[in-house]
Amino acid sequence: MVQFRLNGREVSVDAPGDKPLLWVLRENLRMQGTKFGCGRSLCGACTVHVDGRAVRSCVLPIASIEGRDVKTIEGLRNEDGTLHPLQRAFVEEQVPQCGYCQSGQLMSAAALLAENPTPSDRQVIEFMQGNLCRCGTYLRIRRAISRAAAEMAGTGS
Amino acid sequence: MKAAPGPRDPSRRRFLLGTAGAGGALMISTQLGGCAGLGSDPPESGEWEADACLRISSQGIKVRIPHAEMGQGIATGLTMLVAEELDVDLEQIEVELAPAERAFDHPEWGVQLTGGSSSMRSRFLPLRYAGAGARELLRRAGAERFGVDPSECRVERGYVCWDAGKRRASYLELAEEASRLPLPDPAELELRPAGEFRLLGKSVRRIDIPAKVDGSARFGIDSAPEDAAVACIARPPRFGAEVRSFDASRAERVPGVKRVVAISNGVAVVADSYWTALRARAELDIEWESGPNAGKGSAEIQARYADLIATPADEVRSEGDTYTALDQSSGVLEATYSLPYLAHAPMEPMNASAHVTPERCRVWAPTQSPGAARDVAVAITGLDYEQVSVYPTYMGGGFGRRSEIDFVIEAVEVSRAVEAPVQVIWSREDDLQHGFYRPATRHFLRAGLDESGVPRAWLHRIAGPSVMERVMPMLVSALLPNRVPRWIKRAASGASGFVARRSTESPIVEGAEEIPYQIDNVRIEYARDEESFVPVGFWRSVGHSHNAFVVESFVDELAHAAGRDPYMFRRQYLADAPRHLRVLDRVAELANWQSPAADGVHRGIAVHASFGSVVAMVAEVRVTEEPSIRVERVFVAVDCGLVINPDSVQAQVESALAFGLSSTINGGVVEVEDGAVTPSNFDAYPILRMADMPDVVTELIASDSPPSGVGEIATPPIAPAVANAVFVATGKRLRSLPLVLPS
Ligand code: FES
Ligand code: FES
Repeated sequence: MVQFRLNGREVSVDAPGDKPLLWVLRENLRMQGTKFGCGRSLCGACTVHVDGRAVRSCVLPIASIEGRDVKTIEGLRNEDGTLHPLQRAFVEEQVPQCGYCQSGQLMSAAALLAENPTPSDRQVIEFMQGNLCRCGTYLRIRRAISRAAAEMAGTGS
Repeated sequence: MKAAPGPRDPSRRRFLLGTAGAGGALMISTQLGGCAGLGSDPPESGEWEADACLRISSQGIKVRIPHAEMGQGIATGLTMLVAEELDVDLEQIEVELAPAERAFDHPEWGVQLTGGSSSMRSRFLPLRYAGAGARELLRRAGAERFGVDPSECRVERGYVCWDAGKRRASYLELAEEASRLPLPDPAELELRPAGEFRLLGKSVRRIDIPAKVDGSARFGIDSAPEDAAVACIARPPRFGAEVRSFDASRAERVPGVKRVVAISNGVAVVADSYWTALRARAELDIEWESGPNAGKGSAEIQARYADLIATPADEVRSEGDTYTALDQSSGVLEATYSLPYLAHAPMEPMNASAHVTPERCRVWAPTQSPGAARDVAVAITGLDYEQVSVYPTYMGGGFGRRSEIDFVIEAVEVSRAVEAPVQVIWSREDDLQHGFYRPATRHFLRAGLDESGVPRAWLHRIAGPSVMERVMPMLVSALLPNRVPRWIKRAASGASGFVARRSTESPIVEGAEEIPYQIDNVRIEYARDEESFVPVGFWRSVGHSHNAFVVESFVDELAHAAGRDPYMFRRQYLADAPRHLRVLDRVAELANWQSPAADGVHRGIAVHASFGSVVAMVAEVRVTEEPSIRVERVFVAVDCGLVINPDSVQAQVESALAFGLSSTINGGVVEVEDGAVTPSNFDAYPILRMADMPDVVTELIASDSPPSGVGEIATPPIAPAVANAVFVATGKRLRSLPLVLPS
């Protein structure tokens, strides 16, 4: 049994200790918003937050999650249930195409803005470099991140 | 109930509108005239008639989308067509993805398939007529209710209004009455004139996006039945290899493994979880036949191509007398280009779920080919067509890879073998190594110029495998010796235009065959590689993906050889191609072509037509010390006919450009060694990252022509635009992709 916090709630799962967090989320907990893209920490589709930091859940053994705080795309909304500013910005900028990479993009971007509320273009690119998008939505992701950053800083529209 | 097509407008003869009233709902179907076998299958649920695409009841308005939504925004675009004619807001319509049904067959191809950038073009009129037909029925129903002539009533935003009597009734209230009225003669249906469009041509927010920012969108991988087991399949380690024998005892001992079964293309491990199945697969002990392709690889394939293009090959097109004109030319330019195999690598690995019982087969799959998926499931299970259902899901990218049905075959075979619901999930390694690749090709070009540098002759010889040659036998004989899917039968009997249109060589020669430049002597030849063993398939923009690079690079070579500006040189020979000329001129203006570029920035230009549209690009490129190629900005001018949703078209331009740029500068190449693909994950098969995405400035040219292709059209021109800029920057003409500068 592994116990941890998931999107603010205590959960416990019975899974082999080496089973990656990604598959525990998707299979044991049936939280399927977090996606599988490569299984080797090479694409970012499976990005979630563990203790506030963006991590690739496909290579994180569940045993290492004991007692920690996990947030997934399903928990990205604000506490009052409204969309996170990034989610709103992704809608405003019409970012997703197929949408498959977008949970990971959003979770990475959210971690970035949490640690650096006003990232430069260069910092955005550096931080987001590990999140692949085969549909090529990169320009819009960048626009959405700066829109959300501006909004969170109270200077946006 | 089917109404006769109207006689006046020939375009209307293409549709038969059908209506049905069931449970108080008005339902409309659009079907093809003259296509055999369009009887309606029994409805899957009580709600829909099998062939209906539009349903209006007291509960609301629903539309079923007959095409794959893979991020191109087609669900929104097609719904806009219905909403425009029906005169309702997009938000008033609930949208579903249509299951596999004959009624949803591609209007031109006779099979339910999404490809060839044809969804909007082919549904543009049928779906508008569906909306217009429903609108007319509702208006008549309203008039009946008010006891007046229909001509006294008009529709507005979901209401039928009788202004003189100051009364109105909503569509939802009128649906049941409307469902009992005879269908109007399609010839009398008025489509809304372009000048009065409320929705078409406006940037509308995509209806699928909200679910894609909060994790609730369900893709194929999220669509398995709750109780489904998960299967991983050990596929041949080399193309063409087969299982000789296997020992599953170690795999079966892994806790959580349920069954290990042999299927037609390998051995499936069925378990309680993907993680278990993946680990247990590694414990399988399989002895493979070495097969016919041991020892064969990319180098040998390109060497064979080199032989093939050394001598004249099959004529694809010939104008004038090219060989004689070449002999008589005062200057001759020659070049050889080569391109590699490429993988689609959509972000969602292949997967499919199936539940086969003795009476029923259900399939949930992220597929571009629900029609072929249903046919193949019928063939495998031996069930009747009506007992088999295919439910397409959202998909994490298609790009042509999901027009294949290999993953559906696997799911159906495994579920049938274990008599339980099963989801087959591929690893990324499976995806990259067991794909249907963009063919590798090699091209020989020879052009003759007269004394003043005017091109008089153009010879283009292409060597490569045939895509259609692979697709057809795979379906007809290799996998299904006894049962031939009905779309193949229809195709074979000439009832379908699919195969006729996509003639055997067209996926290889398209984009080369129809060069737009005015040259008196043109000869296009194709040397088919008969020994091809690497599975090839449709990859975003198909033959255009290699031919645009070759043609637009070589034209650039001619321009430089003639000492001319590459833009003005192209212009001069495009007098017969007004749409090319228009986008070319526009992109030159956008990019300020006539003024010098910023310091260290070099420009390349290209123009290419595909899928009925024309795109011109100017790439601004910097070559850095290492040396590496940085594409900083790309200007794009697009003529895709009438633009339905401008922001979606812009997004597709960015997307298709990124897709093409990925294989231009990023270096993912499908190398083949010892009969197998070597790269296995994104470390060895890199795709474009954020840092390499240039700024894109797109202009959509206003046009009254019907909509033409969008989703693929910006892939072909980016490689030559960049290569042409690299030539200006370095003086080096790079004739293979990806572009690599010698250090
Ligand atoms: S699935 Fe985890 S990084 Fe790709
Ligand atoms: S939106 Fe399709 S992979 Fe990013």
